[in-house]
Amino acid sequence: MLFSENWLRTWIDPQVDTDELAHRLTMAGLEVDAIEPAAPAFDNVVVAEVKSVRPHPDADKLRVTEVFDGETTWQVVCGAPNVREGLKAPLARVGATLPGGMKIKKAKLRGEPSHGMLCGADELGLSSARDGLLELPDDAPVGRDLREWLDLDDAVIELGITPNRGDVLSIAGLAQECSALFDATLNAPETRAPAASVTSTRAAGIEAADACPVYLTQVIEAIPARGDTDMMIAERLRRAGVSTVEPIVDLLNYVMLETGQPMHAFDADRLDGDIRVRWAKAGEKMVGLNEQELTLEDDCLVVADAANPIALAGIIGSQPSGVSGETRRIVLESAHFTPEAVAGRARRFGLSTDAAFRFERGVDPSLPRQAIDRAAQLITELLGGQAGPVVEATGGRELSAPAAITLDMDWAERRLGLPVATDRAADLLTRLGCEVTTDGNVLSVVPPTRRFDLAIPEDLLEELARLIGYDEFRAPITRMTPEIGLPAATDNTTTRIGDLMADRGYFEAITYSFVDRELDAVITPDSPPIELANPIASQMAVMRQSLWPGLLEAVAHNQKRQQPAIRLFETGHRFAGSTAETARETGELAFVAAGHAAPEQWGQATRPVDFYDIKGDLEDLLEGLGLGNALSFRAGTHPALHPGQSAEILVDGHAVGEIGALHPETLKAFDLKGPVFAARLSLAGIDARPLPQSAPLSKFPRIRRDLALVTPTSLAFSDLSSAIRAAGGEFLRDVEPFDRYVGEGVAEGKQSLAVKLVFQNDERTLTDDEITDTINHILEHLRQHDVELRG
Amino acid sequence: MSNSLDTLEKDALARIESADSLDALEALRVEYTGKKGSITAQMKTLGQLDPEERKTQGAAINAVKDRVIGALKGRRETLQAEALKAKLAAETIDVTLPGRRRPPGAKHPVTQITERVSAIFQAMGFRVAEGPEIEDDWHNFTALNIPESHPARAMHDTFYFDANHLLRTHTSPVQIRAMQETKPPLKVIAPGRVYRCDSDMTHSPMFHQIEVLYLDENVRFTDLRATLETFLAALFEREDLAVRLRPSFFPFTEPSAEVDIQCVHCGGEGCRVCKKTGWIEVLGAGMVHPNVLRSVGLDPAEVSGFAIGMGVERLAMLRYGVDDLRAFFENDLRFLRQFQ
Repeated sequence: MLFSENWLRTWIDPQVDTDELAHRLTMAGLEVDAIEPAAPAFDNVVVAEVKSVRPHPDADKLRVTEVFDGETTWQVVCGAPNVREGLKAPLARVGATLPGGMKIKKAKLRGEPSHGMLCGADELGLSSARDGLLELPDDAPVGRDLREWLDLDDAVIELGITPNRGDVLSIAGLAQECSALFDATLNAPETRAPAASVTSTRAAGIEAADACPVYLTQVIEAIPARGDTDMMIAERLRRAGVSTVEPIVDLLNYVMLETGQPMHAFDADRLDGDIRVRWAKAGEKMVGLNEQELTLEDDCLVVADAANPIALAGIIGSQPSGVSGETRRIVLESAHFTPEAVAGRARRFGLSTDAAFRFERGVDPSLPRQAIDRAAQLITELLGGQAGPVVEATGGRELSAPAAITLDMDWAERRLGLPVATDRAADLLTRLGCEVTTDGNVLSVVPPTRRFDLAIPEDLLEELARLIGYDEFRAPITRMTPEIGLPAATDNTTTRIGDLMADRGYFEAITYSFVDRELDAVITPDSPPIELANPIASQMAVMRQSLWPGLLEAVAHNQKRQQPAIRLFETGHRFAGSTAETARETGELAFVAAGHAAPEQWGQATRPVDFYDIKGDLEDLLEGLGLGNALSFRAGTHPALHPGQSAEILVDGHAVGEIGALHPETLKAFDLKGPVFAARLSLAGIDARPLPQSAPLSKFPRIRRDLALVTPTSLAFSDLSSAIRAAGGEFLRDVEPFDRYVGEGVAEGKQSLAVKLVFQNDERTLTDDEITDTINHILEHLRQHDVELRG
Repeated sequence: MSNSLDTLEKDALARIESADSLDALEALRVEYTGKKGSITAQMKTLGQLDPEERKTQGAAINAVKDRVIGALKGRRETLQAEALKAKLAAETIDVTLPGRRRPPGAKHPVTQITERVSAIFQAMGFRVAEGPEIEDDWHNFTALNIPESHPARAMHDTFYFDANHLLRTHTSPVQIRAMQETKPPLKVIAPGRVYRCDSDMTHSPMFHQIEVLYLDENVRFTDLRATLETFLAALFEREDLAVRLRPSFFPFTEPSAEVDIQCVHCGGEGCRVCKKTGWIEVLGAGMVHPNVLRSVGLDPAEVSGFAIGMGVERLAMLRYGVDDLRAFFENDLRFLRQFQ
């Protein structure tokens, strides 16, 4: 909300400068977002009158004028098309400085001397539109300094008003607030309702009393043809960010800015019969003042004449019933619409109006009478016309007065942490316009009708705290029940997982939770995703069923930026179930690897990352999470992965995820250069570890034996290893492959595999004979699997 | 006789001293002290002498032998030291060539801030809580005292799935869930993703918040400030960090405050970051609204508390000098690498 500081100061004038005023407002919860001068710096510009105009002898577009500045008549050359004899316009005298620092000097324009410059609004920084000379009204005092006359030494203050404070969306409301803040008296301009000089009325009937408790109308007739809106009114509107439209409309906007009551006027000659306030019929149509056709629903409150809606109540009037320059007879509307009757409707139609903004937040229900009187006064005084009597319609329901709130000051101290003296509290609340009665330490407080936000004792606590100043409420913490916030020692937190991944060379990515439907389907083709009803873009339309789509897009982003080695991980929710109602959100860890296996280095060959690199990362991660022994793999069949290079990840025999090389089709879908490897794990599958349990260290030596085996390539190492362990007896501790060869010298379908076996007995040293017997037993057993010792 | 022994010794010592390799030295050892060596041969001649002479001559030969052996040992050590030195010299490498690296990655700056904030509150006894990102209308709005028609709803540009389900617009619904699960005293911190249907230079459709909730008997407004001061001083690592509370409005707290810190860039002098005000808004906070307590079946007469909500990206931008919100979600390695 924008307002003119000088306008406010005509209502209340606290003895503080602009900065201090802004600071006090901010610290009272009316946050000042910006302070701008009402006009840029310029000087020596006066109201002047054009006495004569003649053509310039040497220039078609220039005129030579005689201009009177109150003391002297000067010859001024002017190029504005609207310059004419008798016009009053600003004159920058010789010696003036205009915005931007331009100095006005005596000059010759195509041979004609010019003493000063006649100015347009744009040249004075009062408008951005280039529209010829600024035409001042006929009664503008010639010779008067323009800044002084237009009150331009003013600040435009922008407030960020929170939704609870609809009451300060006006000069009157702000003045009330300042009166409480500065304990200063209010000096409201006097409203003199014009006496009814005609008897015309336009009755209104209320059919929705809950939504519209009171609706006032007043007919004003014989309004003469109008010129421009009064300069002072227009200036105050401009400073409030409201553009001028038409003098009647401008005055109604002015009354709204002044009082806070949104007003409307209908062209009385364009209404069909009496006015009713009713709920719309579903499908009923109305063309708004902005020429937008609105199709109404039955929860839209309308003002209607006998035939049609003539306004969406409290939001926007209809175009056909609106006031134009031709209008001579108007029906003024000043009504109270409840926040519930207005809220959300403007937004539904994509409308944003000053009226809706105020009614949604709550307008003082006692305002309509005062506002309609003020409007009628300004219209008849400034524009002319004959006012009829004000007709008040009610729905037969009394406006309920605000209920008294009981405020126990002992309780207030317990909640605020510091005492506030009872009489001080009573004084502060009284300044806000509350009626306060005191009984010992307990106050009974009736808030003013404009304060929709005051209903419970906590509301009053906030008022007291903010008027005293939040920063006054300082005290050490009184007590806090001691609690331990640490996670369990056996929790594998995402913090721990992230540390391990980062130490391993992975960078954490954060990708959007909503993804492109087709990309999601590349990864999860068989189950439909949960769709957003109002996605912001089609590539963010469905909830991700896996973290892979986002990560793979990040890989593509980095590949396009020539990153030679890409390692990314993410933890976050994945969303399963096809509707939000049945959604299952589970935590996932995903990581991806592409590019070089290790940074280029002078002493080692550079090679691309492969399956066993990312698998090693996974194995080390689970080792670090205390789950190394629980981890196993089996060949997998994930549709987005290479069928021969993918595995299911198992922890304690339960499938918790997948790992593998991306399928060429997946690479294509994400516009990736392969190979790219990806893994993902359900966090629930890895989020807890056993507490480590110590075992005694063996005093006896470990014995290593290497076997050179020839095995079928179809025999998975995990099966070979299980077979060896099954036959290896209780002292076989470790089975690890350390060399593998396929090719010349090894039969087709076979591989040469060197396997290290480690034996240990914790009670004694194993003998050579024992080990040899065991090895023979193992080899015997392996024959069933078509495994032989290499010849 | 003794002359020839002298000569033998002089000759041996001279040759040992000039031996230039371990092999040559070994040959000399054999030549003089080996089984067939010349000193050994001298020993063998002792038998021909009378006992008195044998004794003197024997002692003399042994003395020569000891000196020769000593010289051999000394020379060997010298030669060995030289050989080692030469070997090591030959093994010299360029220590300035880069090593074989496995460079570490890094956590996302948003996570780094989240973890630090969480750690500070954990140290104060708050435990981390989580909630779903697909929320229902009741948890996200109604229970937080944001009824259907409230203008505050319009300020949350909400992503909807259906009439009743949405992507949570803030982490505050986790408050509700925590209160439903645990009776006070309750101290929780809930970091997480939140969503608003808005995207431009300064808005991302997804961002992160951290919610803090403390409920107990008689929690006071002054406790909120004291907690905020402790937290912000720890987060920004400035003991004397000035903190300012301004009245504001959130439907779920009352009194509500916006919380500013003294500008960390200019120290309050006024600069571009703080728009010349000397203050930077960092979070919102307030005392839990009685309607929120009632919505989960708690009695506002018996329980009170405070809630704090902060935007993580904003804190990360302030702390790390990031000036484009969108950088957080591009996942460009060149950006992420800056946070190692």
